Amino acid sequence: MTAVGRSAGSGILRYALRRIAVMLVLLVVVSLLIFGMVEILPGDVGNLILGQYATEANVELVRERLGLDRALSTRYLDWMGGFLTGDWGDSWRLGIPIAPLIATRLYNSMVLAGVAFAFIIPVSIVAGVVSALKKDRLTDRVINGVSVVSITIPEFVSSMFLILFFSLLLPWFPSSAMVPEGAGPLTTLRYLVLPIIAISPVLIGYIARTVRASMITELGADYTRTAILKGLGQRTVIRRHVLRNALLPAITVIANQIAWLVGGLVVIENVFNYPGIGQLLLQAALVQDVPLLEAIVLILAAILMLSNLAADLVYTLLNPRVRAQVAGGAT
Amino acid sequence: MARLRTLLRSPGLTLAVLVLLGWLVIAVLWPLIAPYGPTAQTLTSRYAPPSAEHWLGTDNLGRDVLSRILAGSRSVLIVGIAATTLGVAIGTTLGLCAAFYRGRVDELLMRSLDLLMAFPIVVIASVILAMLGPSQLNLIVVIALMLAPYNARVVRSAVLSWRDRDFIAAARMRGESGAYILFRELLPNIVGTINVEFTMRLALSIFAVATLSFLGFGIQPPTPDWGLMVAEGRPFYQIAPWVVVAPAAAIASLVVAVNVLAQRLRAS
Amino acid sequence: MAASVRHSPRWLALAGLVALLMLSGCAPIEGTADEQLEAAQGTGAAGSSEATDGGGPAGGGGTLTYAAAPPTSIDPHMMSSLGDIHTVQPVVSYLVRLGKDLSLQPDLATEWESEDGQTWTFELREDVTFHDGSDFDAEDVVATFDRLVDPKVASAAAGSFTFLKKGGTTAVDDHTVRFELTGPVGDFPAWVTAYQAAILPSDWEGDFAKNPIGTGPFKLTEYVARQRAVFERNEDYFEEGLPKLDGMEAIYYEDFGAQITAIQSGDVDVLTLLPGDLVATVPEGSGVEILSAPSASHGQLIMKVNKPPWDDVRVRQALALTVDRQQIVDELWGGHATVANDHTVSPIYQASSAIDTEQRTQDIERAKELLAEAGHRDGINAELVTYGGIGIFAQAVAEMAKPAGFDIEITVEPSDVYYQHWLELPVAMETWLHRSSPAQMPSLAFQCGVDWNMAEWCNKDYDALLNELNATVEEGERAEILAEMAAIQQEEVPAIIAWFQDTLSAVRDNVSGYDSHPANFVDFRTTTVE
Repeated sequence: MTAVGRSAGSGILRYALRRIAVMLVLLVVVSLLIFGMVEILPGDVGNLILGQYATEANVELVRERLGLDRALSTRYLDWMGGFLTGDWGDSWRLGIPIAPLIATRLYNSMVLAGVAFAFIIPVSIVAGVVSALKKDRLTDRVINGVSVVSITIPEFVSSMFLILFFSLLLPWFPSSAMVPEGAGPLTTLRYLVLPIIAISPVLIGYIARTVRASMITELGADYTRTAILKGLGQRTVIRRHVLRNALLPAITVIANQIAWLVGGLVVIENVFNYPGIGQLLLQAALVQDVPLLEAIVLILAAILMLSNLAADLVYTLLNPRVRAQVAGGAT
Repeated sequence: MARLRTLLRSPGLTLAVLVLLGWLVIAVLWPLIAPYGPTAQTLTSRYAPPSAEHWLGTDNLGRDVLSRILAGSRSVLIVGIAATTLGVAIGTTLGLCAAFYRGRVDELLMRSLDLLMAFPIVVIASVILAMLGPSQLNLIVVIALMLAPYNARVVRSAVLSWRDRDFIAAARMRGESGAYILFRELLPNIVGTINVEFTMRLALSIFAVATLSFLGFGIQPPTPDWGLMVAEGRPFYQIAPWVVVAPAAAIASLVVAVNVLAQRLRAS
Repeated sequence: MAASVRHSPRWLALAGLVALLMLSGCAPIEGTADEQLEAAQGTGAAGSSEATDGGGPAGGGGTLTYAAAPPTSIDPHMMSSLGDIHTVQPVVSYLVRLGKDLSLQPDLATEWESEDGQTWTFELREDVTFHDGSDFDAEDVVATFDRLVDPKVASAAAGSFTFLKKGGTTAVDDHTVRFELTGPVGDFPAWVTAYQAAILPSDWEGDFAKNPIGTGPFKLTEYVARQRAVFERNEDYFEEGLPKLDGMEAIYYEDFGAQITAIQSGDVDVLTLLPGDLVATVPEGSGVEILSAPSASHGQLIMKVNKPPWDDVRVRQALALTVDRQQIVDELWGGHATVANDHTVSPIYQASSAIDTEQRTQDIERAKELLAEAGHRDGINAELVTYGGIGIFAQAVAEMAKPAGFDIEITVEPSDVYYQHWLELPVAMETWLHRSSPAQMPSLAFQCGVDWNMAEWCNKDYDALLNELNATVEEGERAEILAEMAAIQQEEVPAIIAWFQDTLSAVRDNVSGYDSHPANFVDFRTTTVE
């Protein structure tokens, strides 16, 4: 590597480290906010844990056992300390340790999200490219119309119809996405088809639009016209230059959509009874299971920040202009 | 007027406007239009399919679905519009301040808003509503807070392009206070942006209302509410699909209409 | 040029990673490989499925899948919800088993007797082993009941067993146990059928999820919180020829809507509980059969008798008179319920035979009169708080009360939230599940000063009768006393009780040998599935 290359590399490294540092600070802020907000929750944890037949005395015992009579700051430090060392406490309602529960649920959600993205990304890119190439023609208008409608329909609405048509009337797919033990990839896929179709439209819509917009920009750019004038076929130009440049902004959009996906998962997992983190969050919120709620929100916050950071870094690395800027020390 | 005519030339847009106006009218006038009271039950005719007496059938308590749909328009629109108004108000103020004062204020505000925006609305709303309990007012406040950051960003960019104009500098030299400049000089110039913003946020707001009440965080039974009706009708849609289809279609029609309107306004 | 060469592989890498995720076919995590292998082996010969009980070798009945609500705690002594019960009961046994007709059947105890109702002796079955191979004897019973009534353990059963103290249970010999109660309890054997009173080994260490040691017909081989549980046949079960199933799987669903969909589409074979308001979702001929068992479960609309306007008995009676009970039974329960008369003595108890109070029916005119007499000519506004499962009944009742002048605003909360403050609510509606003894509801909820007396009702005569009831063993006398108690409760109406609901469950047509149970206990011993 040349001398320039080396300092460029370290410039990016410094940028990444700085962003990570900022992210950690933000996470602490978020943890304070979550803890503060949720701890002010009214409601009696004793009844929550012991069920409806708890007696006064028992409820008091539970409060003591959980250390809820201590000061707020002590509890916060305790909680954060435990969190960082991997002890996330027990769920009030379920009575089981939180960390393994969240780990399992998170994994399940990531499987669903992963398979969903494997479907969404190619479809969006194709849709975006095609509609850019056929700009303002019928294909473009149709794709645009469909995407406007599909973006706007709430996931629970489309889920209802999907289950009705493809699970009850036509018994093609199971209505609940609870994949059985030891299922192979094909069986797993069969259980996940409906939830994925339900959650995809919004994401496809946004990603396709971004791809279309940036494709159009790149197609109209000087270098494109120059390359075509030079004699390279349109297909070659698109494949070698335009596509790459056009897809760069899509990375950032995809990263942003992860936040949307998480929100969508809460609804989808509820409707399809899928054992993921979204369903766990909803249940925890509905019954005010404080430790579980705090842990989930903090984990989600970390994941979202990480994915945004990762997207930014990937974008920086891939985009030569931004990369040079960052390497040179600019923010 | 010419602009109105151009806008109306598109059939899609006309339809969207009609649908939106239709729901607004229904939300106000439903007591006069609805054939039955929304909570009037006839236990002996539960899950009746659509018929002459009940155009959209009845639900699990023998209540007329059509009447409940008509009555439910009010809560969706009230919460949606109130939340959007509040959200745009907050967001605009924040955006104005950030753009005008710049420096530390700007940094702080934008960073905090970035933080908020990184989270899915449903997640934060669920947590907050879990604390506050489900109710219409809480829903309005929570959704407004979720919308504000997006709005603030747009307003900030808009203001930044106006900020360094001569008339602002002139006002400053005159010794006008910050608030005066913000609200009397800058604000009127970005009203157009705010209108577009409002419509776009309204679409998101209605989406959020429907979803959150479906999940159980909004208005509670027996008050009619579209999201709630879908949730309650779920176990029954094999034997009585109309109980789910009707509110779902209502939600879809309203959300799509507002979205189409928002897209067109933005494009023009 | 150098730029493009370096960039495209990274793109491919990203795409490849995503594709890899999909292709690796990673299924969501449910448990360990070993345990599922065991469960998978249980499918056996599906052929011979006689529905006889006992007789013939155990097994061969297939593997059954059933839907249940997710358990909160599967510590048998800490159970408090149906989800818990439906997971734990196949794994454990009790001293006495409550039959569908409320008869007391020997389970781990073979005989029992008492002279004065205060000291009870139970003979225990011999040759019973726990799932870990250890022998069952009287010490296990002693340890179990000591734990149940130990205030430090805080079992919900302690609230029922107020007449038994730690140390009150003793082992006379290896197979005989004696209970010394603090006062006479005429039908004590009925009380030991309580669902928490599952007999566990005396040296049991706690954490049922890790040590599911019981004496029941099935062994719990896998438990994943809020997702599923897997069972396999207990080869050494003490009843000859049972259970018939080779194995079972319980799948947990967060809400009943999902359970309905699951049984309709065949994802599960049995619904252990079908809530009353969802009866209409499984119509005739849809491949699903509804099983019902008359029970003493009922809904209560409780009014705090020390808070105006409910402190005037005429107001309470007025509200009680607005309810069209028959219509609720016919339409909301689809006939799977019986009309009730504002007292807790269900007709299925044998001791209800002497009750002859006139049945209260809907009478709006009389209701209006009573309200006017009580000074509320213009009607009454009230707030009623209730929770999901019974919300629809609250709505129905509120509508029925309108013509008489009652304007009731309903708040429906998730049940966990409701039960955090239920005791403070002025007007509320909730379900009380079947109790095996007619003396239990009065003791738990209507006796003066007890924790769960939501209505804060205090009637000296009623309490005196209750004490007398507990001291009486003879059936005929018990019936007379209960009849008097019912009359008092019906007159004072601290809670409106409009129906006794059947306990419902649902099975697909290919299931036989399963039945509903009034207390919603589950019994899969004779069940088979094709």
